[in-house]
Amino acid sequence: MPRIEALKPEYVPADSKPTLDVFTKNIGFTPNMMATFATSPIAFNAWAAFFGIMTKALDVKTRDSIGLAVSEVNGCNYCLTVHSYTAKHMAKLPDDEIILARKGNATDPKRGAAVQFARKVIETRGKISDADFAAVRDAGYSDANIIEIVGLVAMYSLTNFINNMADPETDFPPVTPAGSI
Amino acid sequence: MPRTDALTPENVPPDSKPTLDTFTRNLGFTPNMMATFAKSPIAFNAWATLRGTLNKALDLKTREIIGLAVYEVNGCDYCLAVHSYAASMARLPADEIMLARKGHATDPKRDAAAQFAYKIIKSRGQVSEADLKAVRDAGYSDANLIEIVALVAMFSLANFFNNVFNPENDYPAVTAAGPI
Repeated sequence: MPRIEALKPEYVPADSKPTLDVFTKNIGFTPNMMATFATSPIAFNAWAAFFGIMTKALDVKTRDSIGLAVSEVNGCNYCLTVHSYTAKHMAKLPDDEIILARKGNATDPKRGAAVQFARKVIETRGKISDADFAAVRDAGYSDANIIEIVGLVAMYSLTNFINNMADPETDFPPVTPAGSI
Repeated sequence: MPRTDALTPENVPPDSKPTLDTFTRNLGFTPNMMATFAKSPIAFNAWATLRGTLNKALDLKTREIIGLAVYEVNGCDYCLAVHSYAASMARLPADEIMLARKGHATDPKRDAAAQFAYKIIKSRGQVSEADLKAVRDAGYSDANLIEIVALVAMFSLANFFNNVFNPENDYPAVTAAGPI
């Protein structure tokens, strides 16, 4: 059962409405997560602006793969349903690639290095080793790219933490466990 | 040792410059963390936007206490210096800074927010029903709960960044923030 109720349309704060409407239009429905997050116009708009700018970082397949890897480590089942859905329909990742991303990897070597690095950052809370840093750099990522990966890890963690706390009712297609890493 | 060099002023990307200049003006110097973060105009501006908007949440002392609690759980030496400095700017006394690092505060309402933030970062959001009840009973609304969690993630971004890049510490030493 949700621990914070998703808002019904008539209760959405006026300051959250424009942002919520954009998500509803882009996704095709109003996810329970968004209708919960919108309870705080300050946090909801802060996150949406952050999210909007971060969509310019790297490419959609890499971003979504990072979202899957981070959500798996943070243990956010609702987020895994969202990211699996967006990875399949928007980033056009095949099903086995989605499972691989949840395990912290990718078939493409360059993307694999980014996802492995993201997984290490969230697992260790940033206390990665010199070898981890050398691996992502050797795969061709610049300092700016590495900063963007770290920013994405925190961005996905933000919604992971909120959804773990609020526990919204699932409204994206369900996912099964990815299996051991 | 830093894993990458902080930018020298002439190498700051034009898209990062306005944001970096604002931090420099407000802080009185250009912290190495900012001069490193500015290498990615996308991430730097995204984080500055998040931070700017979340500054409207709760009150300054509560935000700083949350920052200190989150720092402690994530473990970030550079962030200790930053938050101890910022906490002294927020006029938090030395013992209050120590208490915040343990996930507490003297004021009962702030204490509930500090405890909740500490549990959120420790459990990655998987708090118990009792944790939620405690923070609600202290007078925090659903909107406030969401704001506390967003602040936890915002501070974690800086923690992760500093742990990854390990910038040279350049914040003024604050004796109050000694070992726990």
